[in-house]
Amino acid sequence: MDGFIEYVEAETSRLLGLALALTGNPHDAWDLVQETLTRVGVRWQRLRAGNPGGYARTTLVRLNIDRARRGLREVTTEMPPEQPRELEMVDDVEPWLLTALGRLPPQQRAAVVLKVIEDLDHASVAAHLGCSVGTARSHLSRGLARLRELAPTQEVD
Amino acid sequence: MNRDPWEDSLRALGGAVRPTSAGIAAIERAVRRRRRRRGTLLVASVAVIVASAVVVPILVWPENSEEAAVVTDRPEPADIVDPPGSGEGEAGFTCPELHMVFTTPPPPIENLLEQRAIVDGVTATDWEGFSVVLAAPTHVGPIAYTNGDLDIARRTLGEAGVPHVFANHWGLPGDAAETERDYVRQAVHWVLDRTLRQARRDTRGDEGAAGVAYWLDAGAVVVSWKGPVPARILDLAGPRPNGATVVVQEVTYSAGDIRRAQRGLLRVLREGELLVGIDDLATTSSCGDNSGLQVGLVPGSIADRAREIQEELARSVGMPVMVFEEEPPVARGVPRGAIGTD
Repeated sequence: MDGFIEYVEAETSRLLGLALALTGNPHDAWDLVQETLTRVGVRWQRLRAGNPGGYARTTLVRLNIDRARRGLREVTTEMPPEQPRELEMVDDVEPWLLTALGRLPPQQRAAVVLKVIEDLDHASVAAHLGCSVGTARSHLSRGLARLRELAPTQEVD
Repeated sequence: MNRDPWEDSLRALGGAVRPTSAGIAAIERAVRRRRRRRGTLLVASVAVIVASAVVVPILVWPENSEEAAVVTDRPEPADIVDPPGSGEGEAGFTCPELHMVFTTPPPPIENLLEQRAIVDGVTATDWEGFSVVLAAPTHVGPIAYTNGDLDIARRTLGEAGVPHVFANHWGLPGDAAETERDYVRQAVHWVLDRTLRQARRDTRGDEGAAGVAYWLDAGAVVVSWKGPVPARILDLAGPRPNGATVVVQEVTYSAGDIRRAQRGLLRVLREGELLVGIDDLATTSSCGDNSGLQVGLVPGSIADRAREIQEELARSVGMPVMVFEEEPPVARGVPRGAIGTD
């Protein structure tokens, strides 16, 4: 896997941040990133010369939307550990923000996260979501409006 | 543009988490594991193709190119996919590890020549406001990736006979045939999304439901159902206006049956009175055709006792069990199967 591990070392932190914002918890974020990078790794020989970052982000976003649509999922019989041993938090996360993001529908949440964290334009957000630019703009607008509603009351707490 | 104060907090999330060395190693192992599975899958696919050519097709699909044949034939039993490949062998119960969507050869593309003519035409044309980077015939109709104004591209190419148009965000190289195949499959995936969601809504909460799956290579969504399949579900089979097709597959056990068996398996393994115990368990999932349970046990735990272990577990959970050796999964938390399929 020539160059793949270097790619993983360089990209995983950013993908984890994106996944954490999309999922709201480190367990789901880690599983999402692992599945995404596994798919990138399987196709690495073909992707390495192109744009593996774009492929990875699109895969991650769409996996998360699919995950959200499934509702929650399989029955787990044991409580998961506090934090996966495969990742560590290096900065504080504002809990209200994750809670507020969690109240957005998956497409709105993805649009907001891609716009703010990845600094993408509307066309790029649309491409990641697999929708038209107009629809992406609508998701973003509604998502931002909802977050603005939620932010002040949550921050007072 | 005004920036909301919370945007910096959200942006900071981008660097708030990082992988440990165990995380990097886990991804590396997962890639190797997936590649091994894909290698096994390739061998299995070749075997299925050979078997289908020699014996009998597993999937009954319209044999001529008339699209209406798919619709008007339903709900005849011929529209149901037979459960493939499970049974009792010398080593005991065996079943396909993977769902039929990964192992069954797809039918030929309807109107392939007509689609090729459309695709060649739109690819060779200089369009105003956009350019076509990739176009291809698929089971759901022609698809295209474009640069430029996506709204104009969708309207213009739609009139030219390409119903599915997407933005070329990934910097698609023009000469990478294998990569193009992945992109075409991704486009089919997007087209199937709505059909799959509708199928889920139509079947949600029913006891016989055994799962809904994308069949990307066939442009279809497969609704698996515990037999006998009711007429209401049979009526779902057939083509959709967006080009997707819904296929109904009759299976032996529902998703609920499988979940109950999995919970039963965990219970009896914890009790510690069987040939294997909870510490030997790596994974558990339904057989690819929902004909039973497949149970991965850590290397060294089976030895030459596969048949005895299978029979003992089958008696305990109330359905056939196939065991095999498997490394424990690398991730904890959300179950592996919960994040889509490849």
